[in-house]
Amino acid sequence: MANNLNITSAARKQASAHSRRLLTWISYLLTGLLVVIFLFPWLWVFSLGFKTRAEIMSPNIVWIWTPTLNNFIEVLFVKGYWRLIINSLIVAVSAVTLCIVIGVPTAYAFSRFPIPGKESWFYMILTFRMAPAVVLALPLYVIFARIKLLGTYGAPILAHCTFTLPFVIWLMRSFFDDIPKEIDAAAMTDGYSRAEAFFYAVLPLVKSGIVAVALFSIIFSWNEFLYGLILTSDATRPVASQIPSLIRPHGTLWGEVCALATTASLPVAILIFALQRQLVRGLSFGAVKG
Amino acid sequence: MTTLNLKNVWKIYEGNVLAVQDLNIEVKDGELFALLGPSGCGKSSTLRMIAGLEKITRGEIWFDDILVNDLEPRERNVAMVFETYALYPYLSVYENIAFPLRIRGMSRDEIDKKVRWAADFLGITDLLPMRVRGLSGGQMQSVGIGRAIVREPSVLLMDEPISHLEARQRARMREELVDLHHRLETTTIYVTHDQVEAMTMAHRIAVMNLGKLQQVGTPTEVYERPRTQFVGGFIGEPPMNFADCELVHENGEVLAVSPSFKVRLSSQAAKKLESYQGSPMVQLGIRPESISVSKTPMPESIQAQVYVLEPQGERTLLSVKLANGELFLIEVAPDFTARVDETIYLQFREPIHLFESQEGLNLLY
Repeated sequence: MANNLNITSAARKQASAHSRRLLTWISYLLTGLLVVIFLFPWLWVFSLGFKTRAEIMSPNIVWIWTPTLNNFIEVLFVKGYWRLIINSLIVAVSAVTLCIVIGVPTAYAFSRFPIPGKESWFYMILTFRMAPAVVLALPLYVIFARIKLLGTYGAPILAHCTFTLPFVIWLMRSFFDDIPKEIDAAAMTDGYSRAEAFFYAVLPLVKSGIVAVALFSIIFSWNEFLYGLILTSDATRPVASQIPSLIRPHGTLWGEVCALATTASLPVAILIFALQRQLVRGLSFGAVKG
Repeated sequence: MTTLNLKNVWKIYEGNVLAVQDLNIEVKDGELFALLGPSGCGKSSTLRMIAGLEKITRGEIWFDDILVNDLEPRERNVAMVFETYALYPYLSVYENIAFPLRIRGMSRDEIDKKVRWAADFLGITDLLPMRVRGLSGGQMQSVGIGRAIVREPSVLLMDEPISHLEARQRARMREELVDLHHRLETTTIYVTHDQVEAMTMAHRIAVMNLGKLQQVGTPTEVYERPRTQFVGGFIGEPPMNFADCELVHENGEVLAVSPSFKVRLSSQAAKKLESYQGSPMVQLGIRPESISVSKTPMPESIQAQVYVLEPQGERTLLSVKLANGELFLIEVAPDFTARVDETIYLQFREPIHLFESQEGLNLLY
């Protein structure tokens, strides 16, 4: 009897080890699938940028070819589109800086102060983010035209704030909520004013949160299309909004589209790789709690 | 060295939430003073008002002869120790303790001297270079205390400092805190919901409930002479027994009569009750150790049935059911044995407490 029991428990142990291994493999498989789904279009675009028009248009997929830089040289330097990447940088960095400078203290206020009707205000800000961009496009166009912002960098910068600012406030508030209020109290009894306690005691604790939020906001702004297209002039247009200009009456310049798209992706990709660790720490924020 | 005075202090939160009502407390210079009460009784709000973290709605708070109502926390020279430690997790132990000194812009040498003094005082010198995050709860709280005492505050505020620790560590820290206070002699206010902490550590205790001060007194006073029924029930473990009674005058004596029992009150008690004009319906309160148990009837003894017997080692808790169904807890000797449902006989000894039914005031106080 005892022997019997031993056997079954051993068998059960083996079975559970087996199912665990199976689970690991399934999770690898799913992860792999996701990577393929996300990476494939990007690799496709990437490869097309290095092909000639004939290779791109060939009815059979050309797997092996001699890479050419002609598309890049043509679109970036001959057409001068490298300036659009500078435009994108100006817009994204300014918009996100503005949103962080305004949004982080706002989020802190939402987290700490007894503002009358606080939750209603908070949800109101959230609903701003839910509005489709098109809804605001027309009024923004009219307003910016009136105040002579249309066609300047200010237009897309402010327009991008309509969706990045709620995002910053919303996420940063949950980061602040996770920091015990006692930290503020300790810093204040230790000799800081309320503002100093915020800057020197609380902010360092949400640093990685700020990095993560800023990074996401930069990506939003960088990839935004509609406002970048209609609120700017040729001189101030961000790169994402200008790609369609490569669709010409006599056909789309696919090689240049892909070369430009590849180049435009690079700054963001580099930024994410550089800040990867901060990003992960910011996203798994619970671990930062004291 | 500071005497603290709270005069008619009120705290009313948004939406008319009364947190603290008309609080009057004087904490003497160098005293270890406990604010005791269940959660939501206003003790933490009181502490935060003293610290200046919370504006007071009405009233005055005095540190010696300075009215501090409008002073910022940093201008009050108070230090606070928190239940959740509230250490700065990105700093080392050393830097945590040095933090308030750095804000004050002290010189490097002076900071070093003071930090080492505080660490030595608390016996945590070997923790100084460590990161805060890896420390145990007790160690973290020692660091928290170090950060509080390093700048020699005029008032030390402790908000449930050891509630987060596990039981054995809590007992050790209790002793350490008493010892610490003994050596520092800083005026200290200690907030806790644990009556054992308050009873064992404090010179005097203020018991609060629902934002109202119930009683201020030494541990012995609040235990032996509770001013209200709440204090009687809150202080003491196992808790005081209560039963509805009617006061009956009979041949110049006063009896407390319930369906379950009839108790003759002492002549001193009868004298104190002479001036009492209120309702004769009162609550009788008696502590578990003031009840004698016998297996045979005694004169004027009260019949009861054994309900549960809980041996606890050094004592045994006996729960009995009176005739009217009230459950009473009694402390008996550890060798006491009885069967469940066995009939036994009780005698109430002094002190017997009587609380009027309106506000729960002790009629014999």
